[in-house]
Amino acid sequence: MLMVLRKWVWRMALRDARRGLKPLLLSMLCVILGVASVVTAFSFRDNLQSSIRTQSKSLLGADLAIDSREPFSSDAEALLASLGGDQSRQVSFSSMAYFPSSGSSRLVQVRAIGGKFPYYGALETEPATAVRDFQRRADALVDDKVMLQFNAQVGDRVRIGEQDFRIAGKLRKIPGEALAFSLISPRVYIPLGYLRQTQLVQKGSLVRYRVYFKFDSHVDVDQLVRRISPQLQRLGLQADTVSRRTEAISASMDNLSRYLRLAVFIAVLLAGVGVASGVHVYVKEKIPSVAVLRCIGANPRETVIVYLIQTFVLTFAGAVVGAALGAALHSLLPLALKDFLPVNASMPVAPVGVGAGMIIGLGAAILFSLIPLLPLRKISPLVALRASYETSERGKDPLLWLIFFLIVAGVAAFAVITTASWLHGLWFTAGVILAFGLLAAVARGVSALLRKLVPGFLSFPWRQGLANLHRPNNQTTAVMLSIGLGTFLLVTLYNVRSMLVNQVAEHSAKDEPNLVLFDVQKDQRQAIAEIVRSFNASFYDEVPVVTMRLAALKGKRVEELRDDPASRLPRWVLRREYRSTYRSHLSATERVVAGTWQGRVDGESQPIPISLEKGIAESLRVTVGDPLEFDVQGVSLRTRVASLREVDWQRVQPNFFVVFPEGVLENAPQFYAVVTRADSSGASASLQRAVVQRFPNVSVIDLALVLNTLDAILGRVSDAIRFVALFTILTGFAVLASAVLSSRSQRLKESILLRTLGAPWRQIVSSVIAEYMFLGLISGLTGAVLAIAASWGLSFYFFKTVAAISLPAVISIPLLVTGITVLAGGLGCWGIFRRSALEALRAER
Amino acid sequence: MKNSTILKVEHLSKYFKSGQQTLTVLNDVSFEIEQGSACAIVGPSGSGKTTLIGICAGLERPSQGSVLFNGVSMHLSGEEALARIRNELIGFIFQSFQLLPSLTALENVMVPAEIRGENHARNRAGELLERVGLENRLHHYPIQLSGGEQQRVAIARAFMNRPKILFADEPTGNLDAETAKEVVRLIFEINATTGTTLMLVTHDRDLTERADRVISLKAGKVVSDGEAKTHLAGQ
Repeated sequence: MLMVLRKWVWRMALRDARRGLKPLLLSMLCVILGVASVVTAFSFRDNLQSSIRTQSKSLLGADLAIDSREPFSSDAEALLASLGGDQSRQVSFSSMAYFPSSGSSRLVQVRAIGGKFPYYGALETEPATAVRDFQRRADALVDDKVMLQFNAQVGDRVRIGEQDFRIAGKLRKIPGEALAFSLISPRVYIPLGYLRQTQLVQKGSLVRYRVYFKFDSHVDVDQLVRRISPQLQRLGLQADTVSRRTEAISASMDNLSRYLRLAVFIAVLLAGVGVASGVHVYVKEKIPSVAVLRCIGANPRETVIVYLIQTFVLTFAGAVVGAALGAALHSLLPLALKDFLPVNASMPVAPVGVGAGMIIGLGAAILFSLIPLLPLRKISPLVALRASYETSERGKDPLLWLIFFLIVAGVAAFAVITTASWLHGLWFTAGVILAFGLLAAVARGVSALLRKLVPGFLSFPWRQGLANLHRPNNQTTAVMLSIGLGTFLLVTLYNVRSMLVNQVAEHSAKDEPNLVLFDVQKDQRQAIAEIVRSFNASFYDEVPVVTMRLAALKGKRVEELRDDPASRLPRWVLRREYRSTYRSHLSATERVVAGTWQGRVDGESQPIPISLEKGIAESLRVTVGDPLEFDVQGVSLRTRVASLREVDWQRVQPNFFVVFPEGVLENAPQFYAVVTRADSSGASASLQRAVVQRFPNVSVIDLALVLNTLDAILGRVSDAIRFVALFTILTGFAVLASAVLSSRSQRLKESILLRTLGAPWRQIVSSVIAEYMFLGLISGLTGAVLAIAASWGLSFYFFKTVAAISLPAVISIPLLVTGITVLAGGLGCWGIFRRSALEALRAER
Repeated sequence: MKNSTILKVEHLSKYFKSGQQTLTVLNDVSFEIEQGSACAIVGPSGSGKTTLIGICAGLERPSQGSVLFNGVSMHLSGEEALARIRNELIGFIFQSFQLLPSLTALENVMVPAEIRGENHARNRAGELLERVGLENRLHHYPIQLSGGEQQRVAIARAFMNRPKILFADEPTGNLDAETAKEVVRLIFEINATTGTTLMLVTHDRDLTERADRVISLKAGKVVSDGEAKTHLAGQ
């Protein structure tokens, strides 16, 4: 350590730098990009959390919200009244919205609102005044994406149920909700006073009732909720407070931030590779000087410190510039992710982000730079006299292994801290080591193979070009890592997108249902069937749906289970309204995995043998033979689990958690789901229009719409991921540029020699193209193959679906990176080829 | 001055492994060098001359045998100790000058003293450069100097720390005849005034003539060891 303080090492570092630090400049660029990416990601997290804190009240829009899945009982109303404060009411449900101007309809979430909600934040509309006035008359605020989709304008009509509304404004943003959710379930706000006219809220409808409260500032809302908690439970009500909402959103945004940080860490590692590559080339030139210093008495460690000082100063400067760049760019990340953020993320640079970027970026750069620097200790002073006969024993340097260990430990520590999970952190570390290791191994393997085997039938330029991949000081490994990693990331992204879209799309290609009509009442069945047939649509099935609630589980009342702190049952399985069906046979989307299917019972015998979906059975912690009691709108039914089913939820058909046998529920209040298939998008649109116009209470799930929505969401996600991956890709280019430029002087000498021996320029250019084409192709293909393997792994272990490969991406991206590599190689040699040998030699000196 | 042995080499051998073969570069070489004397090592190319002075200067370790320099067993010393010895007691002149390209002539000469931690190296370095006739080239870089000038800078550097012994490997090998003569004159002039022992690998007849003793190597073995005029008479 004291050696660093010796004046002569600093003087030597400064003097030696006079020759120029050009080979290190691209390493510095790598550091800049690596640090900028970390500053951006860390600042984003801090800014987001800060924004969530400062905008916390607008996340809920009120101080308190109380929900019910049923109309508020008189006891509930008494409780609500006793709480005081300013109150607003909201009733929300899914329904079809019909736009007469275009004749189109779409499933939306209808929110009937009464009162001054939101009390904090604002419903952003265009025009801005629309939110102020729409409750006074039959006006509606419609999600701007739906309006765009159907080319609707402010002033047009929209029909919700039996009531027409005038579109008063486009709805742009709702406090506390991310824009992306409007892709899945676009919102339409109508006045609460006109809800009854829609005639959509009927017995059995899936409706949510909510009351918003605004209290005086001195009211401790969390304490209030704790006080009334027993009453809320007794009345089946749920409370949502600002602190709970903030906590939930913070947790999910924190997850987002975590994985962003992991993604940019790849850029840091690649930057480290770039630094190691640049420093390696730099110190190769310094070996004669190092040997001379050793001859005149310099300590082995001091010679390393001289060049470590130079590297440190340059990487520090790079880190400072990178922090500044990150500070400038960090505001772009929230813009890239704005569709998924529930708040407006604030812009100021977070000092934590800058600090983290500097420390992580600098730390990684120093560790990676030590890899080529440490072997300087082993440079024999005899090199000043002549090259050593004995090969260096680099592989046996324990200090080098320590550096490798520190790098791996650093990656693991970062991953574990970021993911807050040992398992995830170690998986990430293993994945990174595997990706880097495989790419490096392929590079070494290719070099070794080419050293032994260059096909004789290849022309001289090709043989010369391929030989350059294994010559001393080749940059094959660095280029393979940079290009291969970038290809791997991009192809994986496209493969995963294909896989997720195909999950749904494969069912549209076959002869399978692509439309499901929900909430069909008993007296509407025949007319619906006629409409379906009139559009030549295939009628697949008519499925009865009975709503019920769980009353008891394995002999214990649901109320007991809810109040029992030892119960580990999730509250939603106890509270939810179950939409069940009855039939005698299994449907095409399910199979029995335990017990025995019973399709029919006779008479009033109980317990009734029912079939549960295996996932809900796990959540309820029940198995075959366990008793359950259901409340079917006031009638108690004792049941027994007779079988468990595995259900393919991705099929566009009504699937159910609970299936009763025939002979039990035929007389229960019920509605129907009609499963059908329209052969064209035109027929589908016409069918939907006809149904909604005649029966506004009927909702339609359209597979084409699901696909479009999924594709749109994945597109937004891909864009965001691509933005984050951009840092990695740019760093990859910097490493490529560094590798190309580092070989320039060697290439110059070779070309001069070849020219002197009579080789035409065409041959020399061809060998450069051959070299970089092969390098780019191998790197791109290796990255693509790794991506295919990673996609398979993700599909099997994570998404649990069939792997899908995006063939256009697998083919085009490796070709693209090959083209870029050849271009980089050509640009790196620019100037060498255009001049005479002597001119080029003088110019380089 | 020649009243003690400064360098004692006993049964020195050096082998190199090159693939499956073992190359014997030095084979059982023994001799002693008196302090203040000038010894020339001669022999055909590949006879082991450079390897021999490399081992004697502590740049390399022998495969067998011992090297005792100034009472210190060089072959047993660690790298840190050898570095210290090279800095404080040994000077080295290379055939290809080996100046640090990014340092000026003055700075190149100062480096050995700076490594030692001396704070007033500049004055002494300037004096040495003046002594070798380069007082007007102090701030020039090696690329701005001729071959002879670079070698003179190297000579000044080699004497910076007042070494007890100076090793020179073909110091005139890359110089023209006139320049070579000048360099030889300088080396021996400084040797005469400082009493530094000289051990020179050379093909230069002039340099050989001026040495007190000539050790002749062939195929890694000492084939003759005696006075210079005896060696030259035998040529």
